[in-house]
Amino acid sequence: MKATCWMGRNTVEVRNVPDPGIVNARDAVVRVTSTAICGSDLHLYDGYVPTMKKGDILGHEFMGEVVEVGPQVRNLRVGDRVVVPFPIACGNCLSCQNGMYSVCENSNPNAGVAEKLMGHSPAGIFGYSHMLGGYAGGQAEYARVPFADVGPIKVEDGLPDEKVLFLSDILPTGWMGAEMCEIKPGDVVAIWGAGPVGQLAAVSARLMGAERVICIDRLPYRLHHAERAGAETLNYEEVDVLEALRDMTAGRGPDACIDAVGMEAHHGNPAMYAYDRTKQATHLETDRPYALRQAILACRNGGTVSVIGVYGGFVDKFPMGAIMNRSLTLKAGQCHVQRYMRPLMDRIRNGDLDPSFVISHRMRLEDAPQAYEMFKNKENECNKVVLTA
Amino acid sequence: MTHEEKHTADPLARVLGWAGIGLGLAHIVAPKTAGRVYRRLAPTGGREFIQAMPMMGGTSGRGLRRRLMPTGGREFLHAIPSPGAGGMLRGLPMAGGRGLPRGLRRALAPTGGREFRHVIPPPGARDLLHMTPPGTGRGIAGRIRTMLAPTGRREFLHVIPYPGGRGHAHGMGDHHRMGGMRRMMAPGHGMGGMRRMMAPGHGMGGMRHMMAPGRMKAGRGRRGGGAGGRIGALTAATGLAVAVYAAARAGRRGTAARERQGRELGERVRDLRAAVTINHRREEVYRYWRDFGHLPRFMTHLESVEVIGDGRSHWTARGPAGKSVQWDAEITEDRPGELISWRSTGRATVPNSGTVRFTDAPGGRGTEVRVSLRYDPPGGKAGLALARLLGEHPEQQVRDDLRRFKQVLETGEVVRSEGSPEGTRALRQAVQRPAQPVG
Repeated sequence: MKATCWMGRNTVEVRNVPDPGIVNARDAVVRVTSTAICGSDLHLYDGYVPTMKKGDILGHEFMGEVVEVGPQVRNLRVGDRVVVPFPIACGNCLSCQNGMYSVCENSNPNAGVAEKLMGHSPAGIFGYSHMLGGYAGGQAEYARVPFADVGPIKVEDGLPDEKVLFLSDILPTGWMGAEMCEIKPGDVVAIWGAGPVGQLAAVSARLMGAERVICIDRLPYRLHHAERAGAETLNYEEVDVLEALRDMTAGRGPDACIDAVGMEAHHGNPAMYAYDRTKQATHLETDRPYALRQAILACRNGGTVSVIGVYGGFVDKFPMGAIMNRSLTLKAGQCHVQRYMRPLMDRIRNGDLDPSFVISHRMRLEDAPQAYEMFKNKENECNKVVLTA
Repeated sequence: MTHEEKHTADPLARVLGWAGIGLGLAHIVAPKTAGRVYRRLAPTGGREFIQAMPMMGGTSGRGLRRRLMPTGGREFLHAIPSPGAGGMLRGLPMAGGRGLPRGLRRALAPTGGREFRHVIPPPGARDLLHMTPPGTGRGIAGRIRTMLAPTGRREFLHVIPYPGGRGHAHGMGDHHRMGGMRRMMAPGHGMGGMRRMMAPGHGMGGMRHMMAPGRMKAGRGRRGGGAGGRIGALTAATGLAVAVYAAARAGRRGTAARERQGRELGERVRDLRAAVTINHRREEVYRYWRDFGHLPRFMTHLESVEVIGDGRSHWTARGPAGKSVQWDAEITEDRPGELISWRSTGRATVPNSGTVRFTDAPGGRGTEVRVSLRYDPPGGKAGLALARLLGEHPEQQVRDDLRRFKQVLETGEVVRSEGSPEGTRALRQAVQRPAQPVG
């Protein structure tokens, strides 16, 4: 089959690889009908996530048709249309049973490696480094889906791929980012990063009753998307974000701040950017946390900072003093997708939500290398790429 | 290229020059900027590293600072030792160097490990150097200081025994001292620990250059002064930071999955412990383990365990280099739902014994399983060191066994990925397949 393989920093190739088969009894094999490139795939593409290996199949946002099921999979049949959640979760461990699917205790066979870096291991993730399992991803013609009796959700009523594909990651991720803010009536929510996740977090925050949602980015087309999602916008290259937020909230600061940027944040000032970029390049830190620093400093006293942008390792100059002295709450997590798929599917079905507005490009799987390059460089107002085989 | 270059006349300076070049900054930014950034980041760069605490506020240039720095504080002007660096040291596992370790390095490094060759000595090391009382020849601090003396003398080349015994031929003399040093630097891991410290992502790659065979000519470096001396100091500081870190780590080890020399039973006996929590009732967990025939399902080194009856069993294991090892065992204690103990009988190649305890985890969190194993490894310490060099960490194996035990009980089988098709295995974690279906 054809698959998008990571071949080193800034290099992906669509290569012929062996077809997947059933390995564990609870596996299914899915013929991928739609798959998307995630902003977090760019962290892999850019070479910032350790433990990638040449030849790794990328992709953790995908859906398709079941073509084979293992003997222990009783809820799916060949021919079913399914959306696959990006965290691989067993459903049996205590974490899964508490709804914390992205920290499943059993799905990462390379847990020992993750423990070295993070203390304990999170769940395995499709196509997202060997530290997180070494699983082949879904930007391919076929994909093996472990624990298919737990993760995938059936699409039974003819909803088109584009409306449900993002149940695999970015919609639940944006939703959880907003949910962690515990939005109350009157709340102002600021969101750093107006990419697809930030845009969907904005939609979610509005649905949860936020009075105002403010998205921060520097790319006009992304800010435009955010406006369509019901948010006000700030371009951090044009305004001082902290002062602007202070103004907009009459000195209080946003009640909740969402970091939808993560480890490769950009800074409007070249000197600041160079500072963390240099430390990152020389391995004095792994992640550039500007957005997070600013979110913490902006947040009102007693407010919540919700982190859904992906971080990999260590950050420097973390404003712990602000968190401690100002009674902030910091919440974070890879999304527990399995927890949100059904309720969000219902909202898509009844018309509350239509995440397909984020799609800017539809391309063929073979064009994945161009798609990565375009998405990375934000060419052609590239907001979100969907690949079809 | 940079100001170091003209000082690379003698061998030592050349070695140090390597480290300097390895600073990596020159590779990243323009040469002109490199000097400036270097001064910022280098521990020798000046007092800012002694001023550990950020200073907030201040009035001069505040407007500019506020625009530049999120907190408006001066701390961003100083390249203060990064907390990340310590963390990174602890971060990624093992290896560096050549051969198999290089494979691991490649596996762990996103770009194949090349960037990890850039060296930035962890800032802050200079502070440590200052704190160490001078001239104390005794004790750990004194010994490290003597050996790491930032004078460009050859002692500090010998600080770190190179894995495989290469490169420390000169002047090391005192075997005992070396052993002590190694233990200090490589807590509980023999040489593996050292490899770990030199591992990718630790920013320590430059040590390898210094320790590489062929670069070990005991040249007389120039003292103090010029860039060579500065880089020497800087590199020594790096070594010291590693040593201090390792010593601290040695002191901290000792909870889960612990390994220590069984002193009262002689040097050769190993004692391993590991624990896991399983989301099942205690009786079920006990019952599964009690049937020793199940053990090979999650203990990958076992080929089979044949239960003979009457508490006796016959075990077959894969030994090093694929050789099969067999022995008989008997159950020495069996308290249903609580504890099972066993030991090998007769003339086993690897005399061993083990105990597994089952207790209720608090608040309905399932069952806590604690295993302790004791065994006498073939080849003694040398055999163990060799096994470690090959990536076989006994403590890791026990932990992996329990991880698989949990997978089998909770999910029904050992969980497999394309990168680790055999399931959790220490060696496989070190040398992954690409995440592609197995053809």
